[in-house]
This record gives sequence, structure tokens and C-alpha cells, in this order.
Amino acid sequence: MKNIPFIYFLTPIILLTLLLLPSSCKENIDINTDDAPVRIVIYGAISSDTTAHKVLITRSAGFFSTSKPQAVSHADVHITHASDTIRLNEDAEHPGTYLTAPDVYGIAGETYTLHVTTDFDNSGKKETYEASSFLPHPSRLDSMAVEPSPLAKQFLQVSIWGETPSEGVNYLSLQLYHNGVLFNDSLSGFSTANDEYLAGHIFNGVPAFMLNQERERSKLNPGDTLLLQVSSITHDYATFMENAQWESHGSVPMFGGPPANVPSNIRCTTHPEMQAISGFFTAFSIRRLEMIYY
Amino acid sequence: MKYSRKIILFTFLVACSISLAAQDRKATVSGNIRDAANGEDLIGASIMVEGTSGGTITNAYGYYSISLPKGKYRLIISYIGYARKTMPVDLNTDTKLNISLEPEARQIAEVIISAEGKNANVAKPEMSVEKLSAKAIKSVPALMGEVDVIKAVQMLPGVQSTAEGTSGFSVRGGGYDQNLILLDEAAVYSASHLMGFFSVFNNDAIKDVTLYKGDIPASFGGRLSSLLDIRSKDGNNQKYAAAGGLGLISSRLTLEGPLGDKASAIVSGRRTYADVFLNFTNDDDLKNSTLYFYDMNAKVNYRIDDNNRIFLAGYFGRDKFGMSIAGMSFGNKTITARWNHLFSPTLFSNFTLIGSTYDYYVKSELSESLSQELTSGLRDYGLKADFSYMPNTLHTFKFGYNFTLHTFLPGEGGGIGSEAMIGRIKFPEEYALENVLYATNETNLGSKLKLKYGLRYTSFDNLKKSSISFHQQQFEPRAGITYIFDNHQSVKASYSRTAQFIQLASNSTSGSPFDLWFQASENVKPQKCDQYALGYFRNFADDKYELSAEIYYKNMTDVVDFKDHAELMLNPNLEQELRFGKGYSYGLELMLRKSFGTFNGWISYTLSKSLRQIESINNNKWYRSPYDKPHNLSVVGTFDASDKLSLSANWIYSTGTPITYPTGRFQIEDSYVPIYSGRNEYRFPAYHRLDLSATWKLSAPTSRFKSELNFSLYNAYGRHNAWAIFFRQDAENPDVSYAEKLYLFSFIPSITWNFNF
Repeated sequence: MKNIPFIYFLTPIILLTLLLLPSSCKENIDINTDDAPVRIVIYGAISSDTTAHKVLITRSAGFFSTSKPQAVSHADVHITHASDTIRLNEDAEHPGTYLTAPDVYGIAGETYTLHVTTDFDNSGKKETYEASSFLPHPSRLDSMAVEPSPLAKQFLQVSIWGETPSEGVNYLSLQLYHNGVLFNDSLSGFSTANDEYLAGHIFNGVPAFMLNQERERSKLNPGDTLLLQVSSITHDYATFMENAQWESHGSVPMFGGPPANVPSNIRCTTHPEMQAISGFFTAFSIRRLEMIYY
Repeated sequence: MKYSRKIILFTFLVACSISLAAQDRKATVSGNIRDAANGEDLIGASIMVEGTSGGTITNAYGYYSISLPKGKYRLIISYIGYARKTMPVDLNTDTKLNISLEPEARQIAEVIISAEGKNANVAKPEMSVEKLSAKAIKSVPALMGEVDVIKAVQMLPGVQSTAEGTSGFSVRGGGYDQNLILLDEAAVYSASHLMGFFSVFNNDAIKDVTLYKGDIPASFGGRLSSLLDIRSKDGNNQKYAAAGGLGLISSRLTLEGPLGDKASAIVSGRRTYADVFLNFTNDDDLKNSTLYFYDMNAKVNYRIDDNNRIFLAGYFGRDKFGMSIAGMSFGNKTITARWNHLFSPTLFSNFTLIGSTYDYYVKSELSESLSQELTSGLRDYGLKADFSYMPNTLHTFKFGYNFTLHTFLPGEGGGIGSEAMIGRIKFPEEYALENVLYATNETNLGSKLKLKYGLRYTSFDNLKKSSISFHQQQFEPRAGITYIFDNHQSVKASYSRTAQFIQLASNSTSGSPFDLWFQASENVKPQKCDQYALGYFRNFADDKYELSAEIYYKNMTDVVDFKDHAELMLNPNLEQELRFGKGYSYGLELMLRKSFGTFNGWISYTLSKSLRQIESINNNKWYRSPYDKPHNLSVVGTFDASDKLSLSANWIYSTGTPITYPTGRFQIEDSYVPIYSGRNEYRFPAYHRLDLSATWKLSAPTSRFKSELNFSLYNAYGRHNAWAIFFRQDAENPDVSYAEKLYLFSFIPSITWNFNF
């Protein structure tokens, strides 16, 4: 998996830097910047699960704004694939959240296209936004286990066994539910991997998560349930999430290039020249494993 | 363009013909100028013919040659820090005259900033050049007491550090990979130890440091912005000597001495010992860790006879860091073998064989199935043949040929052992061949006007195995003119074109050991730069004070940058990550320097601008280069308070580094993602820092064993200069974002004990 070697190769570099910076320190600093023009943000997905799939439509805000994102309501939202159209309706309790019917599921190998029509700029004319995504084939999951981590004594690692599809490079995202609560529930915890350097597309005890047993949140007790969800995602979505993670951390002169906006796959079809669009639409397939820790 | 090339070649040939015709009425005095105390050749010593405006300076091997009409003359030999010497010469036939200069008693203890003839800055037909002596470098207060060539260079006008504490530097707005760093003529590809906090150059082994910011001699090329030419000591040929020091993080030792009558040698090494202290911890993982760097310089020279001399020099350095689960190492090796040969007193030649390698190795050992490794690097082999022909005091012709075979090792690695889950990958080695021809002439047109012109021709072949996959050639004209008003003031102008065929793939503004060099190809044109400079040079008070003012303009084409979120490591399609464009920079550099006396130092100020326009970056609009810092001020001073005590201080100020700040945000997965301003639209807060040091001599001046204690205080007033700025979401209220500054150093005291005998 590509990001496993990358992380482990970075480990000595980061540790060395920390050792070399004994007197380094952080402090808050006041930054005065102009606010960027407001842009539409569309973020949604369709998966192989049978469920109500969700698309969020919001407005961007100034970086130092203190309020939650403003919803974009009353948009016309639908997803098409082949000759079918799936309509999404705005959730009455959550403005800006558009949901499919609960019996909808995506099919591996199909391409899905999101269509959003709204008068975002209040010009009196509606704009249409579109994005497409292929729904990748799922990986085969055989088993999972919890074992001591060679990284440090206080860590347990959740390892998995299985196989990714044999064609090309496959991209995965990993989620772990601990007693029904999502462990990696934020952007920074979003875990992506690929099998570019994985011999034979077989993952044979690959560490998927490290659980620090000195922290309450990740401490495992006998009888705890662990549910591992492995999603097969597209290369474009993996790249989007990695870039979003990177940019949300902030850059370090030695290890990162210049900060840059995270590209979106959403395009405005009525104004093709419009660049100021954020978010992503994707499709993915899901497989799960569950175990009880003892 | 073709027409102008023909004019240059024609002028060159005519000048040669005129000179050769006059030869039979002349005789030549030639030889080496040396330090009487240790026999080291003196580079840049001035030899003037009394009563005339004729003269010359010694070359990089301390050799000089003056051809004059037959007769009696008096030669005046001078070099800052040494007693001036006048030698009578009865020149009826070619004469060999080796001259040793005695260090001036008082100035042995003083710092000599610039090691050259007294008014060399005014009279020499070169500009945009800065020279530093080893003593000057040693006097500059240093981070953790580690005397550092590059940190001293960063305080010269037109030069700036790429980030706090790093060894990367930008010259006149250029990138840090646009500097050619040579150690005894071998390219040093990564000049950093410990992630850049220290440079790879051990000051104890260095004789001479010259930085060319423009007006680069035609014999050098391959980089767009500058040449940092570092020459190591030859070794004391008068007596056995030792020097060394014990510091907080490293120790060093240098041994040198004669090997018989004709040879001398020097060996110099240093090693850090942070890992020694790790043994005192209770943590087993830390106890078994390694964290150090070492480097060693070695050089031997043998004088076969008056006309032949050989040198063999090597540098070997490495950083090593390892823990139980991971480790890495990286380093340079260079070796040069040189042969100085005099075909005649007026024709000096030097032949050099060069080898240089840089590589890094990273390993992780999490488990048998997950252990993996990665190595990458590059290797150079080269040959240089350089000739200097000095037919009379009016002309100095230099010409030569060199070739370099570059071997790029883009990367090899993967899982280790039969249990490995990770596959192996090896990117094929790539090769490139650079063939260079050059010729220049320095000529005196009367006593006031000096002209310098030359041409460098480079043929570059990107080789894939045995076939040439891409061929590129470049003509790089270089020219300069100097008008000397009198012994104290002159104006100079220069033009140079430089081209760069190999560049660094780095997603970093300050450089890292894991950066990768790649070459020009069908898709990657060589970067080119045309630089124009004009300067006024003035000395005051018997040359005690030197003032210079230079303006420059650089126009760069085919500038390489990387697309947003570029993937550079282990990317077989690296060229797809590249973007190309253009750039320019211009500026004014002022320098006031006092080179000798009990109080000396310099004040340098640079006013500059550096912009780029790269396809698909910043919506194709112009943006500030990462090194655009309009105001840059350095004040460096050393005061010999007494025979025992020497005090030094430097203060640095620069406009903040350009930075791209977030100006908006959007939310996904309950987290905010920034929306950024234009590239480098904002700036970090201004950078400034004061460093202090005091050196107390522990031994009597007459003692053979000399020792001293050096106390230094880096960042004396504890300024929290921003190294990076992060943007965070408040833990209590995730809708609130704030900015956080990371600074590397508050004040850092250190103490070093130095000795020599």
C-alpha cells in the first residue's frame, strides 16, 4: 500500500527533526487577510450500500469566520447512471443536505453523474454543476486481528488480510468503528491507501489502525466490538482527500510544497470558465469485517 | 546572434595574434606566492610592476606569470594580512621567482575578511564576487558554536537564507538548486548536515571561499545563479601542526605537515556526538539510537619539479540516524586528482579528474513482512583541462575543455527479505553527458580600461543507455568592462548568460536530503538566465574601507516549477509534475567593508525584487518567488579588544518570506479546508536576529600550544522568528480557526574550546 511506506519513511525524518529542535515552540499569531470570494461547495457520494446517500451543498466563508457553513437550499439535485435518474430531496431538518431514497445502492463498474441546479450567485439565472465518478470494484476481506504494534509498546495494531482486485492500482479508504462509534471520524483521521507496491495485490496482515492503549478513546477492553470498513475508492477521490488533509494541516518549509487550493471535480456546465468551486462527488464500494476483542 | 558570435571570435583571434607577435622581445617572470609560515599557496595575491600599471594576481594554485620587455624591474607583491614585499628582477631571460610572504605580526591575531590584494576589489576586472577568508568565517558567531561557511555566506549582499537555520541559500532571487557549490572543483550536491542546520564544510580544512553572484567565469557553468568555489588547504609544508576543537555538539581535529621536501598533507575530520548523550537516557529505544554526522577532508600534494605538481583531495561525509524501527543516512563523497603543469612560464595548465556522489538511504523495520528500504542519489565523473596563457601584462587568455558524466539513480527499494509483503521497485538509472569548451580573454586597454570577454559552449546529451535521447547545446557569452578612475575607485559592468541542464525536484522551499536531481529532456528545456550588472567600487583611508554599489537585472527563461500538490518521490512520470515559465529579478546591493585592523566587518544591504510566471500556477499570473525579500540588511563586526579577547556580533534583518495564506474555508467531514490567496501574496513577519560571540585566548602569544575558549549566543534577544505558520481549528469550538507560529530557536548559548600547535 503506497501510503504505508510513505508514512514509515517519513517517521525517521520527522523524529530527527523533533530531536533537532529542542527549543522550538509554538505561539498564536495574528494574521490579517482579505476574505476570498464566496464559492459553492458541493460534497457528496453514492456507495454500494443500500441507504439514503447524501450530498451537502454549502457556501464557503472567510477563513477566520466563526460561524458554521451557510447552507444552499432549494437546489435541484439528481444523480444519473446509464439511463436511470436518482432524485435527491433536501432534508427538512438539515438545510443544504440532499438525500436519496433509503433503498438506493450503487453498482460496481457503473459511472454516476451528479447534477446540481441552483441560482447560487442570485443572478436570477440558475447555474448547473456536474461531476462524475466511477464506482470501483470492492476488495476481498478475509480476516482481521488485533496484535501488539512494533511501533511502540502502548500501541495495538488492527491488521487485515485480504486481496485487492487484480487490475491496475486500487485505492482504499479505511474506517474503524469501536463499539459502534467511528474511530477516525474527522478529515485528519481519514485513511487512504493504495496497492501500487503491494506484492500480488495481497495484504497479508497489513496494519490498518494503531490504537493507543494509554488513551481512553482508543483503549480496547475485552468484549469490545471492532468493525472495519474498507471502501474501494477512485484515484481522484483519494487524491482529493489526501490534498485536503495536507492543506488542513498547514505546510512546513522542509517537507511540503507551497500551499494550494484543493482541486474539485465539480464543474459548472453553464459557466465552464468558473474555477471557484470546492468539494467533490464520488462513488465507492464497501466491504466490512467485524470482530470481538478479548 | 550568429553575427555577434563571429565578432567575439574574431576579436579573440586578433588579440591572440598581436600578443604572439610581440613574444620574442620579452621575457617572463613567474612562480608561486606562498605563506612563509605554512607554505600554503596564496590565491589572489597581487604582483605589480613598479612604475607601470602592469601587474597580475595569482591564480587558484598561487601561480603568477608576467611577461615584460627585457630590462630591470621591481615587483611589488601584496596580500592582505601579509607584509608587502618588493623584489628586484633583472629580466634578461625567463625567470622563476617563488616568493614567500610573511604574515604581519599584528594581523596574525586579527580577522582578515577578504583575502586578496589591498585594492583588488577596485582593480580586478570582475564584479559581483565576494571573498571570505577562513578567519573571517570563524569570527562570525555560529549556531551551537559550529563555525559554518554557508552561514557566513548568507550574510553577504544579494544572498539570503532560504529558511531559518538552513544551509540553503538564494542568490539574487534564484533558487537554492541554482547554486553550483564546488569543493576543490568537485560539485557538492547537498551541502547540508542534520537537515540543513549545518553545512558540510569544515572550516578548519578551508583555505579560500569565493562566491560569484554573477559575472561567473566562463570556465564554470551549469547553474543559473551562482558559483560558490571552495578551495581546501594544501597542508603545511613547513612544520607538523595540529588544530582542533571540542564543542557542545561536535569535536574536530586537523593534522597537517610536510611529507619530505616536496610534499605535504592535511587530514581534517569532525563528528557530532548527540547519540553519546542518548546513552544516558532510561529509554531503551533512545539508548540504541544513532544520531550523528561526520565528515573528513584529506588532501596531499606533491611537487614533482618546478613545472609539475599533483594534488589528490577527497571529502567524505555522512549523516546517520537510526532507531529500532527506522533509520536513514545520507551524504556526499568527492574526490579530485589534479595535475598542474607548466608548458612554459606563460602557459599554465591544470588537469583534473573529478568524482562526486550523493546518496540517501531510508529504512523501516516494523516487522519481517513490513520492513522496507529506499535509496536514491546521483554520481558524477568528470575531466577538466584548463589553460591560462599570459603572454604579457596586457592579456590573460584562459581556455579549456571539460566533460562530466552524470548518473542519476532515481530510486530503488521496497520490501526487505523473503517475507516482505511490499514489492520491490527500481527506477532505471539515467545518464547525461556534458561537454564544455570555453575561452576568455582579459585585456588591459591602457592603464584605465580593462576588458574581459569569453564564450562557454555546452553540449548536453540526455542518454538513455547507449542511445542519445535528447541533445541540447548552449552558447553562454560572458563579458565585463572595468574603468579605473584611480587606485581607489572604479566602475564595472558585466553581462553573463548561464544555463542549467540538471535541476532539483524538491517540494520544499528550504531543501531536504531527499530531493531528487533530474535532467533536461525532450520535455524539459534547460533553464537560462541573462544577467546584467553595473557597479561602482570605492576604497577609502588607504584601502581600509571598501564600498561597493551594484545594480543587477536577471531575466530567466524556461524556469522550472512544480504543479500544485506535485508528487515527486518515486514518481515514474516526474515530468508530468513540472510546469514551466519565466522569471526576473533585479536589485541594488550596497556593501561597506573594513577588511583589516582591530575592528573590522561589513554592512551589507540589498533592495531587490524577484517574480515568476509559471504556466497553470497562480492562474498564470505573476507571483513573488519564494526568495523575494525586498529588504535585507546584515551587520557583521569583530573587535579585537586585547591580545586575549576578541568580540564578534552580527545582526540580520530581512523582509518576511513570501507566503500563501488561507483567505477562505469550506467544510468536509466536519473539518475545514482552506481556500488560499494568490501564490505568495502575503509575507511572514519580518525576520531579525542578533548573534554574539567572545573568544578568550588561554595561552600566551609565544606559546607553541595555543588554545582559546569561544562563547557564542545565537539569537541573543530571543526573537521568535516564524519558521512555519499553521492554521488550526479550536478544540473547544471547531468553527473558530486560528493561526499558530512555529519558531525554531529562542536564544542558544554554546561554548567551544579550540586549540592548535
